[in-house]
Amino acid sequence: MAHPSTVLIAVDPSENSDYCVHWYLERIHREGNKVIFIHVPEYWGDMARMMSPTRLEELWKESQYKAQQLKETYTKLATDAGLSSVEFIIEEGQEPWSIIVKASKDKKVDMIVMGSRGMGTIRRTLLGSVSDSVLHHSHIPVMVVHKPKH
Amino acid sequence: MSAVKSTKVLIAMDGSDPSLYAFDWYMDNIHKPDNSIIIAHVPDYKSLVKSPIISSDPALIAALMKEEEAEVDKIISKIKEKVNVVGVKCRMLRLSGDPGHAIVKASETEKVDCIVTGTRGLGTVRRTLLGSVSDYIIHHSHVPVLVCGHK
Repeated sequence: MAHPSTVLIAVDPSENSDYCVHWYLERIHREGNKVIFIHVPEYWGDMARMMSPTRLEELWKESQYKAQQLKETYTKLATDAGLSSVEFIIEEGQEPWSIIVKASKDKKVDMIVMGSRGMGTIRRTLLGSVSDSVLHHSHIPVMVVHKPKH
Repeated sequence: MSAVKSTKVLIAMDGSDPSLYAFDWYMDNIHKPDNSIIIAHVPDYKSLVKSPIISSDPALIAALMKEEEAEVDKIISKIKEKVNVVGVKCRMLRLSGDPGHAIVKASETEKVDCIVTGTRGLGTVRRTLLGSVSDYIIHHSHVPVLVCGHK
């Protein structure tokens, strides 16, 4: 009954994502699984009114740079782990959760894997807002990866 | 390169269709031959006893408890049947108390690597997308949780 799946792994520059990807590769990945990484860069549109255009451009460039770094890092990590089918999507948008859920449908994914928290999350909560929203809107199974405290 | 490890998985099952679906989905898409499986069942008496009867008649209470146990046994048989059909070796844990709390506690005691749960179970109001037990597990687990949505 075991068959290969298409897995969508949502990542950001956080340590949580790093742990999540390693955990997936070590514990969950099965040979033949197709892995698609998705990264939604930080959205700066709301800040546009409050900042100078120069500063805005700086921040935007930084996000783009980080996105490319993530793409290189994770593509290499997955390929080194022996995966033959790896894709990395960078998609901009205001609401990361909806971009992730839409991608999961467009790419006909079988499962979404993501960290429980990302970059922007207040440390008080055990579940970040993006993970929470994806969980509530996904029609397919979601693996929420909590990073151990130690 | 990270070495591939064998994983200890706890699957929360209350006998409901979503939980059976979660088990099947896990076996189809995640299970690896080296993985060890623990099935955690927490009888939720609230959803079994339909009529709120207040009585001090010991015979009636005894009869009700017997009825509850019979219901629980039915569910456990259902779960065991599913496991046997699939043909995988599992350990079954029957827990007590608040389902969410009991499952998370068991996952810590048993030092599991991952929890698998459906989105809804027996007792849930159909309005919500995520039942209270799954919701609790997601928010309190210290290990990864696979939430299997049932269409």
